[in-house]
Amino acid sequence: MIIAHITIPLILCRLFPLNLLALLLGSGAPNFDAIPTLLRKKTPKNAMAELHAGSILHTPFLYLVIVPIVWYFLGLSIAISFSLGGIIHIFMECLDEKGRMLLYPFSKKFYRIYVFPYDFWTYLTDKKTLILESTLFIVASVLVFIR
Amino acid sequence: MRVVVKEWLKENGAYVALWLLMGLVTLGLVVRDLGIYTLAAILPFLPLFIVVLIRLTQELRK
Repeated sequence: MIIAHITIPLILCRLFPLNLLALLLGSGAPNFDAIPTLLRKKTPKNAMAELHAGSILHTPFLYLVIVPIVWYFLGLSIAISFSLGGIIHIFMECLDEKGRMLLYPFSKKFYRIYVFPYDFWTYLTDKKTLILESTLFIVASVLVFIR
Repeated sequence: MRVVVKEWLKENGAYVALWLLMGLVTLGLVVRDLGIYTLAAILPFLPLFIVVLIRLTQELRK
């Protein structure tokens, strides 16, 4: 998912009383594990082996654990919004070829429902991807203007 | 998948244009909702964005 990580928070904020800024930050937070991949001189031959989407940042566990911490410092609404953003990010990405470690730390198995490619370049030109991402984009645009 | 970015961009210009359009409009939607706080949403991801831009520029200069 690329733009869906922004359009889904926009849609959710129109439907539920959530904090958009916290949702967007939570939704983007898992992608910090892409830094090592981006800093590499050459793209690895096997995209599945890279750290991106294979670290604790891409596990629902982390976003459940930090709820009480964020709640204590910033309030319940921000805590729920931030964690929901992160968890939705992870579950949406379970639709790709790599899957995500949904049961971490109990299991390091990657769970997936393979619909979309994982590889970035293939993802950008995949028809199914475009249909999903553009549908979410249209729904978000319409909701922002009517609500 | 390893690609030669320059050639890939030429072959898939329509896809790139579509993604850029969706991205920019989405950014507009966020700005409309958050106003100046959009900066707070973007700021943590700025290092990632800068790295991507640097890598892309390096690839395009090859």
